[in-house]
Amino acid sequence: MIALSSRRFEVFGYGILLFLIFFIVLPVLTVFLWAFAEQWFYPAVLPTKWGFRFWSLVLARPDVWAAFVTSMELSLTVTALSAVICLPAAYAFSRLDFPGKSAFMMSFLMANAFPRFALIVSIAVLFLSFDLIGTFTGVVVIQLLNTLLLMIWLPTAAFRAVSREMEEAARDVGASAWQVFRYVTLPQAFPTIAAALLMTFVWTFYETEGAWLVGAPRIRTMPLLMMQMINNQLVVQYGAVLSVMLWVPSLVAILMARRIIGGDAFARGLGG
Amino acid sequence: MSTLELENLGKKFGAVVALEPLSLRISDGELICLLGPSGSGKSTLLRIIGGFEMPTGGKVLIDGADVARTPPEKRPTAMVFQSHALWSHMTVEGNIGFGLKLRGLKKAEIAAKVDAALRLVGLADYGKRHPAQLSGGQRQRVAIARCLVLEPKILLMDEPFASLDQHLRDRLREEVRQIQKKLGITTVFVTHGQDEALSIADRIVVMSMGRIEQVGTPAEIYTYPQTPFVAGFIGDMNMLKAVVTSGAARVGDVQLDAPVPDGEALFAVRPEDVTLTPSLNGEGVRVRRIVNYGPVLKIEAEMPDGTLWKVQTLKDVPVTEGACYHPIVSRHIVFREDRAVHRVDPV
Ligand SMILES: Nc1ncnc2c1ncn2[C@@H]1O[C@H](COP(=O)(O)OP(=O)(O)OP(=O)(O)O)[C@@H](O)[C@H]1O
Ligand SMILES: [Mg+2]
Repeated sequence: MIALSSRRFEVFGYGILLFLIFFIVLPVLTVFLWAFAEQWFYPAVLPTKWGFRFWSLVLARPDVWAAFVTSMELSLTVTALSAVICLPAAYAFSRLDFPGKSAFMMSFLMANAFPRFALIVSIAVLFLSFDLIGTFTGVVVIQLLNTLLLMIWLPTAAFRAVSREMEEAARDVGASAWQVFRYVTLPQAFPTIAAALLMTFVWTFYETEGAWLVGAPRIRTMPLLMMQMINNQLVVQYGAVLSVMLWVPSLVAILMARRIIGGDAFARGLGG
Repeated sequence: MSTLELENLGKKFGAVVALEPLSLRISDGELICLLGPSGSGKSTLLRIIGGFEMPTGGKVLIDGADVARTPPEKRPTAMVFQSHALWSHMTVEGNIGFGLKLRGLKKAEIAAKVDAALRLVGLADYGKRHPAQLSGGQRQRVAIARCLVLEPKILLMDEPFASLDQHLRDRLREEVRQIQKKLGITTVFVTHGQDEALSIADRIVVMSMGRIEQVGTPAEIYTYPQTPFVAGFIGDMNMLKAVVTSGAARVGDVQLDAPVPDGEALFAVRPEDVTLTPSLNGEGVRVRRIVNYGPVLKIEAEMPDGTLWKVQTLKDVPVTEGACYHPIVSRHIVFREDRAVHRVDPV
């Protein structure tokens, strides 16, 4: 009976795996192939001519580099600001008990459940009157609003999960309130906070709706540029090369997350 | 060198009275056990001494200086928590050395002290490990070392071994007792295990509902409980209600002396203070159950009116289930209005 059902689960698992390969791995693979294809005629399974011609074409374009710099600046600024604003707030929320706290936390969720596009449009209208449309600041603010939920909820949960007794033990051996935070609370909450920071970075890097509505036409991020290229030109390779380039930051982020959050490395990293 | 005095120390959480104002003197080098059922205020009292709770009123005097309003980091106390509360992101050495580092000691000095502390708790080679790589007992030893390395005046322990199995608990308890005696460190140890308290304490403080019921040596607490609560809480006890008339009361065919005014009273009799002699006329108690506990027999017997008696005898005393016996009581305590008013000891 048990053997039978576990076999059934195996079959089920393989089914899911096939599904994932078909709908995720195959398209990604195709994009990769296109990025390195100079010629690919139907019905060949693989490109008929390989090469880096489109890479040099894409990399030679100043607008690509400008967009890359814009995207990096934007993501770094938003992540840093978000950390500066949200982490103290998260710590406060995890420790303070003020009337209406849960309502306040819920309001974040509610705002996030609201259709995002509509929200962004109404914010964009607001920005018009502040002259923020088409400015870097405007895009930073809209992205900050986007990441607020993530950067407050996750770290709040992380801070709250830190054992009270661990903090008390630190005070007991002579740590001041700040030292408790620096040497115990923060390192304990660090894996989750790091994950939230990385997610904020990646999210901001790839976000298009807000960046387009608030930033256009002067602020052009990588994803916006890619969309533009795919829309305006029929050369598949441009889009493919940009996709692969766009893939790099998130890959780096994921690898970093694995390093930081993978138990041992973390334990030694912030040991203090 | 360090004494601890509590003066009228009380604590309320809002409307909940966790501790009624109480006073207690603990002498230098003494090991005191706070013993009581769940919710009796043991942890609250310990946490007030450690500085983790602010008392509603009263004083905490360490060597005569009131620290009731001093934060924990400035108190000469160290606490071992029930959950060990080791910092999982630091190594064992890091945990033990953290307090020394905060005090600004030099690296070499810290290393030497950490080493000595690890040796003291028998974990000399474990310094480089993380807490996750230790067993439950080893973690508590590290937690103890982390406290001792700071040479506190007062050591506080809140059910430090509650999560360990019986065997390990007994061993660690003995080790703690030895270390404590060797260092002569004044210690307050919270437990709700009476065996634990009876076996390591110099004096036991029995608590119930935020009050001190009795303070005394293990022998005093066991032999001369001053309230029915203590009598019932520590060890096995027969608690019998009876009416006193002209200096004595009868429970079935057993006569208990009580030179107190007439009226209802409560009698406490230890099972080992009862001997059974065969009853030929079928009066007395009928033996219901005999359980063999190694050198002793624990016997449950019943009077015709349903009163249950717990009796404990040596193994070689012949007793059979179903037979009738006269209980002979050699020692008992009389309680009235929740206080011991008279005691009868064997002659
Ligand atoms: N932070 C708090 N807020 C409100 N009430 C509290 C708080 N801490 C303790 N109490 C109450 O104070 C009383 C004493 O609690 P305490 O933790 O001191 O008991 P204890 O003797 O340590 O029990 P246990 O053996 O279960 O640990 C209990 O009634 C408890 O509910
Ligand atoms: Mg407790």
